[in-house]
Amino acid sequence: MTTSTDGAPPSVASEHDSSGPPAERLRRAQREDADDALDTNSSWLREEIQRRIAEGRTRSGGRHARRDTVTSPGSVGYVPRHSVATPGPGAPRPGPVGGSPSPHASGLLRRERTGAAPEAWSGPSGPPEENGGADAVAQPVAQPTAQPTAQPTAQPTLKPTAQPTVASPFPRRIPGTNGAPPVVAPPDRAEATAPAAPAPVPVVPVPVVPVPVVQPRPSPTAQPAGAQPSPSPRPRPAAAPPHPAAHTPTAPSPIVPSAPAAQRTAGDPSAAALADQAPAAAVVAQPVAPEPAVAEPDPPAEDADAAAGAGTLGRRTSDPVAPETVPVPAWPRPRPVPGRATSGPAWLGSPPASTPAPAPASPPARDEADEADEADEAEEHPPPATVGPAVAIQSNQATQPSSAVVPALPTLSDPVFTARTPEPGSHEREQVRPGGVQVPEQRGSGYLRGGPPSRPDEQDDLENKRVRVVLAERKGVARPVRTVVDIQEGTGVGEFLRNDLIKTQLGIALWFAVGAGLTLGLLPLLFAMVPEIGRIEVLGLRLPWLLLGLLVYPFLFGLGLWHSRLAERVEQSFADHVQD
Amino acid sequence: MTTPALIALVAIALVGLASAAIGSYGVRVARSTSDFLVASRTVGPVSNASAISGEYLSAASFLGIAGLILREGADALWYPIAFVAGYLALVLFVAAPLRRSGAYTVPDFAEVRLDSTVLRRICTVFVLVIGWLYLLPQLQGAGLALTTLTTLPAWSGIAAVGVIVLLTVIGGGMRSITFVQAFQYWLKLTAVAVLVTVVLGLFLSDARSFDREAPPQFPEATVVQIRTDVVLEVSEQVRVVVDGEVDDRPVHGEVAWRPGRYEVTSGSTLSFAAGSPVPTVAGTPATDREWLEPMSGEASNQLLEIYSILVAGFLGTMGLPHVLVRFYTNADGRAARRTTVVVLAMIGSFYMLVTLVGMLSRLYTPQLLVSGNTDAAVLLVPTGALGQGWAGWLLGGLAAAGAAAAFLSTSSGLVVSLAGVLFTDVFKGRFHDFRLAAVIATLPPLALALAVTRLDFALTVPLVFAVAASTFCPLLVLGIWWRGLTAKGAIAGVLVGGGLSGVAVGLSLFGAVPPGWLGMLLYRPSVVTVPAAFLTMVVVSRLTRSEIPADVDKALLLLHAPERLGLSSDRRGRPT
Repeated sequence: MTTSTDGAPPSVASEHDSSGPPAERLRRAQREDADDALDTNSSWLREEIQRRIAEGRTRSGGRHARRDTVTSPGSVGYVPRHSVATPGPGAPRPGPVGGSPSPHASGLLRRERTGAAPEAWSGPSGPPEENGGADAVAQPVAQPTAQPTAQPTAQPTLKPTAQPTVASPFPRRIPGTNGAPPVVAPPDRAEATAPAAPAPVPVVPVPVVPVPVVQPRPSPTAQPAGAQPSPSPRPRPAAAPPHPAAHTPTAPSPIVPSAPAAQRTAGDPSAAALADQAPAAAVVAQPVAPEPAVAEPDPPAEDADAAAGAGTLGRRTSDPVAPETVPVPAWPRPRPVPGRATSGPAWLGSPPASTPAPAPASPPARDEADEADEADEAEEHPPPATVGPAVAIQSNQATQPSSAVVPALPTLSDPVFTARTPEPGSHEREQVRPGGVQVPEQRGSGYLRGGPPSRPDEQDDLENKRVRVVLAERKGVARPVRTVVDIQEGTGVGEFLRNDLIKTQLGIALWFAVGAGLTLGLLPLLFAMVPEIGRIEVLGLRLPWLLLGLLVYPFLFGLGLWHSRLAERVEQSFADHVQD
Repeated sequence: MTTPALIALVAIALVGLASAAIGSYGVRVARSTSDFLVASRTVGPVSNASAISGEYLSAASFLGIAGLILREGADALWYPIAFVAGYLALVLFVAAPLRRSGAYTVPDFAEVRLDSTVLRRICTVFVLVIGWLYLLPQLQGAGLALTTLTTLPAWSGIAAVGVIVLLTVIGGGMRSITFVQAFQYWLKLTAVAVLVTVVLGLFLSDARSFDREAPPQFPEATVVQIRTDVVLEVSEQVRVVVDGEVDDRPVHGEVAWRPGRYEVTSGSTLSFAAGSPVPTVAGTPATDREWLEPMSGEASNQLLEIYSILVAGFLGTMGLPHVLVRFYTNADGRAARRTTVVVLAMIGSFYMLVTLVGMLSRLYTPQLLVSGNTDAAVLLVPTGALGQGWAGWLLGGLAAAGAAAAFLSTSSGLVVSLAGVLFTDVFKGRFHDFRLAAVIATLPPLALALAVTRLDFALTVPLVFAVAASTFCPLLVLGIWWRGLTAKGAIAGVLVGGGLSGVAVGLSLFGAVPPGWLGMLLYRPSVVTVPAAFLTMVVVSRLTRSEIPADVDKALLLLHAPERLGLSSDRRGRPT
């Protein structure tokens, strides 16, 4: 049982390994904090610990500018989650959380697990709805802002869902992957999807887009550990610039997700829009459409950033912590808005849409981790779905502020759904993109908020990445678990090993017992049969006294010492056999 | 009260105070239930081994072994060997698996392994029987020490030890007990080592030899108080001033005893002049040469006794409740094994020293051979060797401190483990206070010790070991190593072994024991009862083969697989 958990570390290690390269990238481009976390690849345990520590750092450090605002809340929330989810549970939990059906429950669970985090989250969640906690705001800010903008643009379903999914997924995924790595991963993923956006931003959106898309996928797997740092390489370029901008608004996108958000926010002015467009292009196809949408969103995004910054941020935070709770409030909000009302239903529908999206995501995940259990994937997917809702909510909320956006949202959402659906099925974003054509608007809206547009893609990517992470863990763990289970279950090999162990140990023990028994048991007989022995003097002592009063004790001690060493060696080799 | 008595009292009081102080220090460290009961399983091998040794080296070891050697000579050397060999058996068969089983007591183990409530209850009964039987000589030993050293009545010593033990146990539980007992081991070792150094130095400068075809001699004029009826064997004519009854006739004045046997009634006083030969208790080697050579008595009985003692010690140690509990304070099975090896070294060195003390006491305290009260040898050797003076008194105080440490450590260990069993099995759900269980665990043996006349350690302790070897040893060994053991088989074996040895205990303690090999078997029953218990267990298990627990393979794997595989029950929480 425990062993399986124990085994997890190896998987973690693998993740790190994968993250290694990204880490390098990150190191180059990013800050030392992330590097530190990444550097420690020596032992998985260390890595894990460092990750968890690093998560806090990275989140805060990686996004220093972001940190200021976001760090404290976001980091706090994330850390607990990660710690909780990091091992095995992380992956599954995201799944349940993602499960759109019972997001609330999952949120509750998370809160319980996170412990301290819940407060922060709850705070944020409340605020988001109400435009509450500044901290929460900080993280969410980037994303939220982006989302809000996106929503207004009409990303309601697609973008919102996508963004939300992205945002929430990040946290979730992050935990699942491993504290820090996950965080990074999310950014990567988010960036991957979003990165496309950023990348596009600097370059030309359309052409660049495909590249980023491709990169994101690989990056997720490899980058998970360095993901946070990695964001800087890919997304960071785009994101980095955006971040500053984003930072200024709500600034420190607390976590990687925030980074995307930041990008989005950053994109708010120009870059954000570009990024959004780029992602949209990348994600969807190269449809230029997104750009227009983006252009539109941009202003809203900024507005959203400024206005919704706190609220959105809070939402995001809430998403990670308790997506469910957030969704709930979010739902109502969307509803109030006219467009939202439609969007609300759309949202309701959106989860399914998001679900499909996950499905597409899952394939990539499979690619990376073919062996990964489908169930895991499924679980992972669901989380995105849930996330999607949360995002939607966020977007809805965002939209609320900007009512104008609302109307567009419904329509957008509808296309989005269609678009997403194709995406999942085909995996090929390009195909989806056709739907995406419509999507562009959504994306555009998402882009407006910076992250959102990319988010749909990101969601997929994220999902994929998530899946990958989980798979990796299992892979690493699997072997030891199986052998240990073999032994426990009494399968052929296990039974043989077990019986061999017991027989060997018993044989050794009996051998020693017989040796000691014969030595001690024959002496009285000898003294009785040959009384002369009792009269021999050695060193001035009668032989019986010498033997029985002095020498027998070192003899017994030596036997005990010898036996314990032999027995330890047998146990050692048994354990080696089993664990190999 | 005389000066040496005061010194001895002060020394004993100091030991009690130091124990209480260390115990209260432990209380501060103890923060959880786990601390209280099993010391959080964080005690290191050496300190844990010290605690095990301190707990194991009872009054019977500190006082009884030397007395046995003083009286029996070379044949008594088998007693300490058997006691030490018990730990070899623990290393070989029990230590690591028992630790891994997560069992805290034998009843726990029975339930974990065989999942039988009936067996658990039976084991609980035997734990209490063994614990109380073993507490009895400890408490009475305290009375003996106090009487010997200070002439205070025996009950005062018994009551004092009972109270101190209760205070220690109630105060700190296992954790403080661990520190206290580790301290007490080193105190005992120090006391014996100093004693041996001094007395051995005297002996070597003395050029005296044991190899004489004559009984020992009184080094100075000696007055012997006979406190229990005794039959003396005189091998050389001796002049003695008698004030009391000899051979049922009142005698007052000096008489000459020719070689032969004389029965002296308790309450008599015998006065010997310096240099006169020492009459010895009948049945023990009369001359130094006989004493020096093995197999002094009738060969067949002697062999029977030796083998019985070896079996009882070798297999009985693992069944002592206070020993088993100790293994649970180890971090893991590997640590348990290493701890046991360290214990082998610790108690081995202690017994070597005690053997020397017993040997030398033949020269310096021969009057004990007359009174038969040989268990007081260690306490009297200092003044016997150094004479009445401050040196002798101080050394006597050290010996008294060691003796006090001996009964305190064993008694408190026994009380803790018995209280644990009472608390978890007998009073389950009825009492919520471990301390109440500790009080209840102490009262029966305390009452018994006050009511019953004292018996030799050499008689009572091997009987306790025999009961443990006949009941728990087969259960533990077969339970750990044989997958075919069934609950019914275990129950039958425990009942047969326990019943047979219980009858022997009852007869030898309270009834008349016939002479010859049958009497020897009643005094030393293990050579018969242990094989009987094993055989019963195996046969009945074979007959009830269909009832082998379904999860036996998993249970065995748990016992034998190293912790690093993560199968240990520790991680799943204790079964109870």
